[in-house]
Amino acid sequence: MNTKFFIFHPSQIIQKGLSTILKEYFLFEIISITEMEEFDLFSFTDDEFIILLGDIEWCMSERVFTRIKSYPGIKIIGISPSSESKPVYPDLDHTINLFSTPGEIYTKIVSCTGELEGNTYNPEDEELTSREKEVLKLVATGHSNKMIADLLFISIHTVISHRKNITKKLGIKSISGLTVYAIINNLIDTSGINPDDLI
Amino acid sequence: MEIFKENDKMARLIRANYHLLPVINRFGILPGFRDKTVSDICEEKKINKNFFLAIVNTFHNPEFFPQKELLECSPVLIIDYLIRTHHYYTSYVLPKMEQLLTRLISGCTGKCSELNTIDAFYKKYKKELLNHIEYEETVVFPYIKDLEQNIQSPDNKKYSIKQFKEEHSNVENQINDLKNLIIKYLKPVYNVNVCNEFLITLFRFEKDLLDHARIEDHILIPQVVEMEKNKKK
Repeated sequence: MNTKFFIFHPSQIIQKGLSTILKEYFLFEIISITEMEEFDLFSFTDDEFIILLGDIEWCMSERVFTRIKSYPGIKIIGISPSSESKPVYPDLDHTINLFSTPGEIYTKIVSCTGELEGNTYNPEDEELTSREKEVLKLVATGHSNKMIADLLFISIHTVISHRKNITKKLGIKSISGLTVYAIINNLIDTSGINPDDLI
Repeated sequence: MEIFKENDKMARLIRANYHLLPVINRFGILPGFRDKTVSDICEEKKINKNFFLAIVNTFHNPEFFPQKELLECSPVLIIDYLIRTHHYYTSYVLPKMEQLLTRLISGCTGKCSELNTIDAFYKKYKKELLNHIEYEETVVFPYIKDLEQNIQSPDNKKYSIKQFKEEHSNVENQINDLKNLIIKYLKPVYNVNVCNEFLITLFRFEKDLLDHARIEDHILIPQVVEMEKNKKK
């Protein structure tokens, strides 16, 4: 999962301050914006996880909040001016204020993400399951999702889910990249064919 | 990250970030500029100062993206910059990567089939990138230039930027994969220094490409969408 932070705040001081704090804990890309129009110019893929820290005093009117909330999978952390301000929208995932400590901000973000991509090592994360290896072999040999689903007696939705997990574990996204991985790791029998033709 | 200004000395920009060297080259600026400022050099070489600063600051600082200012620049100026960037890729970066790969393969000490597979993957990536560049320079950019001058040609009548948006293939994934395959999975049966040089070139190339794509996706395409809308009225 590719994670991106957006800081949606009219104050450059707050933008830079928050950005500095986030960089102490996370390696993700951080983008600062001051208007909703800027956010609209971004297009997100299915494997991107967006966390938006947005000012609730000036930037996020109800209309804007609803629009942001419509982006699938987005998490919204409201920034209020002080600890006494009540959160305006009950659908906010969390709120922080200008007196929140870096530790508090970190904790709230981690509870949104549940896991940190690339920052923690878990041996189980890397090893492909035998089912995933089966799917990978078929992807590498040019089979479509539908063909894979039929051959393995699973749904297309499950095939896509396996492919997302494979990409996440290996860090490889393209089909030709996955093919190279499969060849290098002897998952495909290349004795009869020129491996270059597969790629 | 600092934002460079017109009164900054050009030498200061390079000392702050030497990766800007190829970027300034695209404007025809070469080292040896003594203590001249950005403003001095832009005036001398008849470069649009605001456009120059927007480009170098965007390259230097990934969080900086002066959308409004860039959207106001002429698309022809942007296209000219993008074409020079393509030329840097095709005449320098890609040949350099190929030379390094050739050296890697010829210096291979163990099982070389994996390296050959990586080489095949690189060649496929290169072909797709070159096709993409050719498509932009022979179809998309001329279309935009004609649009800007309100020239209607028979080829352009039915074309719209929507087709480019749909065909704007994501070559970023493959360069990311090439990196990861070498860093994580390729057994080191090669000269490690040559491999490091290859990877470093790849990392820099990737950053340049991302910057390049950002300008195409968030500046040029929206400008063209707007021009197409105005044309319909």
